[in-house]
Amino acid sequence: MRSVAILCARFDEVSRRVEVAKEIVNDDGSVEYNCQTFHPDTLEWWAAGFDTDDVDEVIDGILIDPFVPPIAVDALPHRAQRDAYRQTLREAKVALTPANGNEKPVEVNSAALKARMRAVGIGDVYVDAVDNDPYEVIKAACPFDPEVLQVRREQLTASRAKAVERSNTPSKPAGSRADEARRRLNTKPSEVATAGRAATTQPKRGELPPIVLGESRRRGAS
Amino acid sequence: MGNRYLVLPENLEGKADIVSYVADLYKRAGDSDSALRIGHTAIEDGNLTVRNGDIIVSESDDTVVLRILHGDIPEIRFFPLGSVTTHRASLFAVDFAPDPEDTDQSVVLTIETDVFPTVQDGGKLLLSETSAILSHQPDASGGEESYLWLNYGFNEIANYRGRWSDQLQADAHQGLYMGAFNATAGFSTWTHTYFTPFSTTMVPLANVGVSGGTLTWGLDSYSASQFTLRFGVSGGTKMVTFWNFRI
Repeated sequence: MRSVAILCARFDEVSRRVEVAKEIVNDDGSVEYNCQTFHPDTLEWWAAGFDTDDVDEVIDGILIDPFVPPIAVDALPHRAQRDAYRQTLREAKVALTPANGNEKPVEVNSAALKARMRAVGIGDVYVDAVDNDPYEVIKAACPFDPEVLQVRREQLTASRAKAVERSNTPSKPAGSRADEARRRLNTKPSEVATAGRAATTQPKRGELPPIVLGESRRRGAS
Repeated sequence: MGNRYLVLPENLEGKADIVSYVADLYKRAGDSDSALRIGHTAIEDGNLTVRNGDIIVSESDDTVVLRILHGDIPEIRFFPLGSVTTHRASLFAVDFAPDPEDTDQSVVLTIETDVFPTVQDGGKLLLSETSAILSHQPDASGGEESYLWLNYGFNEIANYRGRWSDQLQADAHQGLYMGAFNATAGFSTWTHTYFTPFSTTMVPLANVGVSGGTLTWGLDSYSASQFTLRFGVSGGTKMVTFWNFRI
């Protein structure tokens, strides 16, 4: 892939999602068009997940993420690896941004760009949206509340702490797990139930007469 | 000085004090209440039997928080303290078999309304000899019941009643993420980004169709944060359905 240009963004009232149109120039020079959709809450979630309050960086990350190798599945709980992925996204944005240094093609807002979009069958709602700054459209459509960010961040921090703790806990060797399972299979249910109470003397059922409360009141009422 | 519970006042921890004790005596005298009351009592190596009556646990102001009912359907009722007192929790055992000739011993943990006639209204866990049901049954609040019913009439059969969400993600550890949308014309690839990257990779099971025709398409890429579909032709609106699971 040679470059990715952000053409436009719009909020679709029917699907309640942000749609971003992109023009992709492949290594062989061929051009194709991509549409990316995401829920408006994505910005807050993404910001909390990657420990940043920079909304522009968040939008950059969301838009460039499909074009970089995915982050390792066990990396997200670890801050250093999240930071490394943010760096990967920043570098990819620089590498894939068209040569004029702008996210948009050189002829932004030009009739040529709109004509190219119409030529491949892209609808007018996208073509007309080219006249607006896609980043401003996204910001207008997506909430970015510091208090919500903090709640989401605390939620993620708690779950990630557990994940890190689990990854640091050595698991039992397979042999010992098998031995444990074998021991349980060979243990009668009655032995399991009474194993923890073996030290105390338990009365046999029905051996002692019950203590009955409320007799006097019942007799008095009758 | 001890009170009716034979507890020293300094150990009452906010419960009855001497004034409320006297007030309680006055109230009991007015009600001709001469029932036996005992303080801290231990029953060593024996049973406690209450015949033809309930066991009630209450606050010092007689607000009942738990009740073990007598009768042929053993039941424990829980009355959580809080601003909402319209509902209670109940744990009871019953013969679940619809046919009187059959038996299907079961135990039910349920949320129900606290006003007679009681109505099931909320979550329910029903474990019986023949099946297990995890349900939400809002009979008083209104709405359809949803449940997961294991061993549903046939051995090993599980039945789910309810519906699935459409493109909604609650957190990074969600196990399933599904939905349906239309991919509008003109784009050769379509990327669906999740609310937040999942904790592990989501594997898409997707399907793409066009009205009145056939279409070649494929999965272009997927990860914990998104999946991208590639279409053989960019023209025409595509109907996309997907059922993604986390591995």
